[in-house]
Amino acid sequence: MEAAVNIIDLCKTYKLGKLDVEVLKNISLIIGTGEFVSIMGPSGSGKSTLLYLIGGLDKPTSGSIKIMGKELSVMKDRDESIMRRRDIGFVFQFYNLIPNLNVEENIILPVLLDGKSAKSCKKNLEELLEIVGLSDRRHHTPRELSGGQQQRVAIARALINEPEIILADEPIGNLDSKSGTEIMQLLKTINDEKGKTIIQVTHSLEAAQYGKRIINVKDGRVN
Amino acid sequence: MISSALLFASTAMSGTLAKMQADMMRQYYGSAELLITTNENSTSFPTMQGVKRYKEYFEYMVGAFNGSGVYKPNVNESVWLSLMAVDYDDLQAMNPFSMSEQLESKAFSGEKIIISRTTAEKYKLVVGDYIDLSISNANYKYLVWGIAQPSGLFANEGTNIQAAVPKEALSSIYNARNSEGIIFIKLKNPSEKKDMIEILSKEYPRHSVREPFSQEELEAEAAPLTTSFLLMTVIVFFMSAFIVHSSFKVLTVERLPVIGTFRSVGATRKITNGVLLLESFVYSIIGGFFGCIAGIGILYVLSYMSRPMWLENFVPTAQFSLGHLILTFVTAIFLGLLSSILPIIKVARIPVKDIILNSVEKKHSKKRIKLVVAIISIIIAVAIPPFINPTKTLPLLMLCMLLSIVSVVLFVPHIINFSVMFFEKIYGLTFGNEGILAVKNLRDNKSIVNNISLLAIGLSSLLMINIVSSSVGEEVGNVYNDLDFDIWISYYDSNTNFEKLLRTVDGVGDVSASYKLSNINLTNVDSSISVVDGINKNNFSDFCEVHVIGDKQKLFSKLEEGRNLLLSKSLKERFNVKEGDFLDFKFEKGIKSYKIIGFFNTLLYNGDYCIVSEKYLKSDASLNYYTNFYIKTTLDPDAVSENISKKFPKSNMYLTTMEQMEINNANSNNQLFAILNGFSLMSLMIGIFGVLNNFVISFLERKHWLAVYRSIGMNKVQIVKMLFIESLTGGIIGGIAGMASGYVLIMNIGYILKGMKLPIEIHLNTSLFIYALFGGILITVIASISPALKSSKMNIMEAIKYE
Repeated sequence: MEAAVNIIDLCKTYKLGKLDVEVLKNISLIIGTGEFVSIMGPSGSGKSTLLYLIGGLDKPTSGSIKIMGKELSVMKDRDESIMRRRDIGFVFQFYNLIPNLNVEENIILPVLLDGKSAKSCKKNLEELLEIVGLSDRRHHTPRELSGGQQQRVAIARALINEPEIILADEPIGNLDSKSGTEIMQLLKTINDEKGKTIIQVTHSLEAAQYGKRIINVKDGRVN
Repeated sequence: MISSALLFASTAMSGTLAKMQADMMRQYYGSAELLITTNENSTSFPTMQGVKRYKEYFEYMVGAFNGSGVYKPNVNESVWLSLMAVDYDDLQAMNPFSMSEQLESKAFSGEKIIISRTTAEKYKLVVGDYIDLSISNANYKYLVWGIAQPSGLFANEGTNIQAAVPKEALSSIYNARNSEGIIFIKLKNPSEKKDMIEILSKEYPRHSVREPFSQEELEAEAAPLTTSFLLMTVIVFFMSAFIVHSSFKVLTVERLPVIGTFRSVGATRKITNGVLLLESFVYSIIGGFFGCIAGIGILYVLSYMSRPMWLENFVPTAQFSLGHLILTFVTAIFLGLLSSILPIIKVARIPVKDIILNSVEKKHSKKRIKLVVAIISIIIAVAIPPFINPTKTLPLLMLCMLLSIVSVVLFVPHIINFSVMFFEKIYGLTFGNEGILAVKNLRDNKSIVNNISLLAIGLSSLLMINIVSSSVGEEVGNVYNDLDFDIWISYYDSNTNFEKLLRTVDGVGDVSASYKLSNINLTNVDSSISVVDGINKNNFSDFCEVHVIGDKQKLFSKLEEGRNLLLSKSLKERFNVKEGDFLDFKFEKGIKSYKIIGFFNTLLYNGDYCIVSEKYLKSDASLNYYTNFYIKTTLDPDAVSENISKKFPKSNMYLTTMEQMEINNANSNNQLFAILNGFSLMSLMIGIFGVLNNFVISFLERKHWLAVYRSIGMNKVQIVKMLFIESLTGGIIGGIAGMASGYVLIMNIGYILKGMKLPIEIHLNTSLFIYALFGGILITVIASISPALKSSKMNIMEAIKYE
């Protein structure tokens, strides 16, 4: 199995006033392509930081992260951004849809950022709208959708450029149990049917069990 | 703070201008409260006999003569001196001054002169020196008897050099030994002023008995400036309220978590509102306090800039009272509280649960109602002014102007939403997908809406002032193009020989004379006309072009057929009269009705002007001789002026060359508009400040969303590009909105100017509109630099998790 994510001796230290806080301590981890990994741990354990470092949204203090074989630390902003739009899809706890764009516009955003036209992804968009069950809501703005629907849009946005990896930060943390189950089911389907690598951070054991592997992070270390 | 400062400066400016004018006049009149002078009915100078009968009521009564002399410091230079011929003790009683040096050994009599220290230093004169003076074409040697400190009559020499000579020196030259050119009176009891004017007017029926100047006159003189300041203040006030309101809105939103915590631990809505209002109150107090201090500074600068030409050496004193300070301070507090109360009320309505759970939904305001209000406002602003009488409804016109600004603010969101479709297509082709995203971001973005509104108001007020100023320049130019003569003389003591003698002066070509009356009261329209000209139909047109509507020659001929008159178009509008109506003139001999036979366009005398036949004006106003003389010269007008002055040395005629008139007028207009431009620039500065403020607020508000863009693959360059395109588009829309609202304001200001009796035709200057558009773009693009740089340096993870 080819490694989708390969982490070696990863450290992250923050400055808190005059104090240096070590959030992640020498983490080494390999996540294979097509895996569905759940990262669990108590608050402040460093699990979200780990996810954001994998996504290139923050810089490690030391160590190496390879995404689909490409070393993140040597990447320039431009290449990192290309990686984020082509190889990675993000799903956040609070959905983070752009409020003044409608469903369709939010989903195709990574395509537009990649310099392609909206037309170029029309087929893919229709398919995704079908998968997430929002074909009839395509012209609605985020404020006109429920939390579960917004998260579905976020998942569709994460998939529009057909990335290899989906990073989900507490994807059902802001949803009721019914919507939460639906979203987890949807992620599982994506993993199963599309073979996407899914890395989720969660507090919920129930949600974590949708994954094929659970990684526990405590005090900045992987147990 | 800035708006308080401008409010303070504009309200205090009226008093300051009046004080400057009063100080200037006091320099000449001293403490005198009444004056007796010659007028157009006078056949001789006034004597002291009349006033002596009432001497027990007076603190002093001083007789004096005014005259002029030419001093030649060297062969090539001639210096005009204004001479006040008065006894030394009288001058000291009336207008005290201190001497720097004087000849103690000799009395101030005969051919002696007191000059100012400035003049002495300039021409290196000392006490005991003799100077050659040419007075009334004769040469005299005057002994410098004293050099005065800059005080009293010598306090500030403007364009004229002031000197005092003994009274008998001039009275003998003028052959008026037992009379006075002017009598200055100070009353023991100033409250008897009006009664005394009445008594003395009977005593001196052929002379003028009047106050040196009244407070009303002074304030009326300063009115065009003060009204303009008030107008600008209204705009500035409105913009400030807008900025304070939008800033406070953001402040309350930022405080939501704290407010939620506060309320969750038991604070009532009242307490929370009270705390927020108190906060706004404290800001207002600070703003008001520093606004007053800054206002005093601005007032000094404005009073320095607004000194009329003849006061250019006058030291400006900012005139303000405790009342002005209190008014400014209270207004600042009122502005602060009023602008913050709406956001506070809105926050108070949010349920505590929503605040704590961060589930506050942004309610979409009632767009349709706002659109209706905007449409009604613009209709009122555009439709009402043409149908109302500007002179009587100035406040209504100013309200219309304010409504046009309100409508711009309400229209802006709709303009943005409408233009988004257009820009999306253009930017898709020119800027790519970042352009499309930038345009989409403009929709319903409060900060951008505020930016565009502020920019539109700032640019439109700047446009308005500049267009008015350039129009005035153009119109004034047109006025001078209508006058085809080189020298103008106004002379109320002329006689039958004057015109004939005038024609004999070297360099005088053609001469036209007319009878002119000033400030004639009308009995049937409860108003007055500044200038009534009794013309000679045969040669008036050769010297002065009034743009008669209709057949000019026919109407001019008709003037002579009876008591007919041609009225300026601006007076036609002001009096709301039509052809065939009558105007009843109040002359000394009684009321005479003149029939309106036509109208003409002119800016002469600001359009406050009418023409009648010389025959009827002469007889109705009992005028014996011509009062106005227009001269075409065959030599240099300055040289001819000097020749005329030499030819009629004793006369107190007012003589000026067209060139000088033009320069004086242009200077005075430039000065007025420089100040107004300064004021409108300040309003633009407030607008720019608001735009910068909004950009920072917008960045803080959108930091999270920009981080989301970054998380899904937008790189730094794309973010900066998107922000720049947003700003560019904001600038374009703001510039266009500014141009549109500027156009409405300009139309309104045309009516307001008419209301201020300045019927200027507005000339739209396309290039100024284009500058406004580019200015708007430049402002927003520059203002976006800081947010763009900040966005490229932000920590994506922190912005997503914590913002």
